[in-house]
Amino acid sequence: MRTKNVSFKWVLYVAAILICLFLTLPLLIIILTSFGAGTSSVFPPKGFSTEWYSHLASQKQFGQAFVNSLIASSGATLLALVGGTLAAMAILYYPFPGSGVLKAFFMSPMVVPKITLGVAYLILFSKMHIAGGLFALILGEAVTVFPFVISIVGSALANLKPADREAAADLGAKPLRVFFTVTLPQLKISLLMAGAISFVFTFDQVETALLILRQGSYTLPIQLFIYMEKWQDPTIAVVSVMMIVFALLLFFGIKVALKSAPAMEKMLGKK
Amino acid sequence: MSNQHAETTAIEARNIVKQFAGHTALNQVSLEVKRGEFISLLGPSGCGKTTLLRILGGLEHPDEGAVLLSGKDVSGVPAYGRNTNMIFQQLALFPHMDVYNNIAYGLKVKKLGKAEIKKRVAEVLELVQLSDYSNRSISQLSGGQAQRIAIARALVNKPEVLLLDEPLSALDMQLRLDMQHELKRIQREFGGTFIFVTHDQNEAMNLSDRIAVMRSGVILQYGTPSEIYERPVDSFVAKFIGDTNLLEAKVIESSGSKLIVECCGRTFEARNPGAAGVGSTGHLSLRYEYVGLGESAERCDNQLTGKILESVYGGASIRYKLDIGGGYELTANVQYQPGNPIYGVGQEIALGFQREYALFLDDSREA
Ligand SMILES: Nc1ncnc2c1ncn2[C@@H]1O[C@H](COP(=O)(O)OP(=O)(O)OP(=O)(O)O)[C@@H](O)[C@H]1O
Ligand SMILES: [Mg+2]
Repeated sequence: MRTKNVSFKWVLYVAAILICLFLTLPLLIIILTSFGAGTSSVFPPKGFSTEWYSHLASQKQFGQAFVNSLIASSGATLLALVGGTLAAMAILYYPFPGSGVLKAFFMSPMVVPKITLGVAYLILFSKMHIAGGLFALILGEAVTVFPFVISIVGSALANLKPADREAAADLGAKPLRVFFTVTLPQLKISLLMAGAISFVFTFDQVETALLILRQGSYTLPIQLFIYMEKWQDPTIAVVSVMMIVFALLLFFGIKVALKSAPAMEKMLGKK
Repeated sequence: MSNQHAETTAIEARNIVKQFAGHTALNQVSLEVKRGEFISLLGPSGCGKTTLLRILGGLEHPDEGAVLLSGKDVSGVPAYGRNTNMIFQQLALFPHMDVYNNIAYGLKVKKLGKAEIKKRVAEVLELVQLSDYSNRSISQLSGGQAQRIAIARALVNKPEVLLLDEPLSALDMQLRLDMQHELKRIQREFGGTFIFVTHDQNEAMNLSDRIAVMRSGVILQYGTPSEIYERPVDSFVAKFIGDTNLLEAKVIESSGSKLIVECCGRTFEARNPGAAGVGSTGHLSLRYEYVGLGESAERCDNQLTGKILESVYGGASIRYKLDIGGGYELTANVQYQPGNPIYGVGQEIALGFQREYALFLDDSREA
């Protein structure tokens, strides 16, 4: 009986390891390739060198693209967080006939094909004479991540107790103050979560960006795409590794922020 | 409205009507509370106590009627503009703030200085006997502690009118009595007006200057504890406050406040608190302690005999259940001191009650 259990445990271990390998193998290949010595991305790499890392320094367009991506994602995330929270509040606090339909409408970017949205944006933004720039991308991507905010922040909002807001009002706080001192602090974690998901989602968005951006405002995924059409050297792998590192930093940053949320509160509250 | 009226009336509700989806929660409720008065709203669950309190505090808007604060119509003023504070039935302490910041919230809104806030929070924490809990988070409080913090959070603002929605319901007996005492003392000291909601008639009797007894959206009676106890307006109030025998009765003779009623197959003399005439039907309300047994029955206006069915020893008093024939029962609560006779089950005994204490309550008064 006991031996049977033990052997079953080993089966599980092996399965888990295989799944991990399956998930991380592409990443491992990228990392190994980035340290290759040749002039083309081949696997297994011929020799070991860090020349492509130093080569990246001279490829100014990637730095610019990274900054563009940061701007676009942050902008879209902020816009979606503000707009989504307000929309969720309107739907929840002031129910009106058709508010359910409105919510479904806000959630629809989740199911509309991204490429269709991209084409629509291209036409609309061209008419508005803003196509090609980052601002247009921010507007477009904010709509795409709106559903995340509406659903995550909306459900957190629905879980807040109305009596808390009433108590604040009873203690003399006007509606705006109630929002900033009672509602918003209790939404902190869901805002952080919705923000993180939106940011990551928009950061490597290709479809919309490909259609509406012009040279000079390319984001990182587009820049990679264009570079890859011309060159096959390990630069792509190097940039990918940088992106992996960035994603990991972001992930741990959020984890730390979430963990220390109560501690931070105490610090702020005490003073 | 005269000036005098404005000076003495702290808060007033006039003909308040409130409906929730067709269900009438309050029906033409009027209530006037004097400055410095401690009143209780007493009634069974769902009778509209919380709704009335929320309307007084501005958290709910009445469909009809007006609320006056110090004689000024505040019907259009939202909660944050009224100098009233509420202690919520669900407490509603802010979960993302510690005890200190919960209590300081109202003071911060009023933009008081930091030192002043600190001082007043410390004072009120001492008042509720939780001085060491200033830095606790709300989730780390017991039910009773949370209630006391909720009381502190409202009290610290020194409101003109304090609205308390069953603030002591989660406390154990001893703490509850202590807090009743404290509330009464606090109220005397800062002279505030307290409106206190409770299910508990003893609590209402002990604390209040006046009690409003409510049932299904109306105030049945509003008066001092002794008025309500001794002269209830109907059998619901009589039964809700204190223990009473309620016997079906019919008036057969009436002269002023004196009535002859037919009851339990006999006739009794009874008092007429209202205007019941010959032929009216209703109940005879006879409080347990007004029924005399043995010797004390001899001088009573109404006398009969009964058989002891049950006797329950209660320390200072003994409660007897008596069979008075014809399938009717009466309960008597007799003061007891060591040496007094104790009647045994099955014993035949004389019993009686004074006309003065037998109230005839007309049923036609009830809706
Ligand atoms: N927001 C609401 N929507 C619909 N009905 C409500 C609402 N608030 C109260 N009611 C109804 O109004 C009536 C009075 O409710 P209220 O809360 O005032 O009772 P209560 O006397 O405070 O009872 P309890 O002693 O149980 O707290 C109840 O029948 C209740 O169901
Ligand atoms: Mg209630």
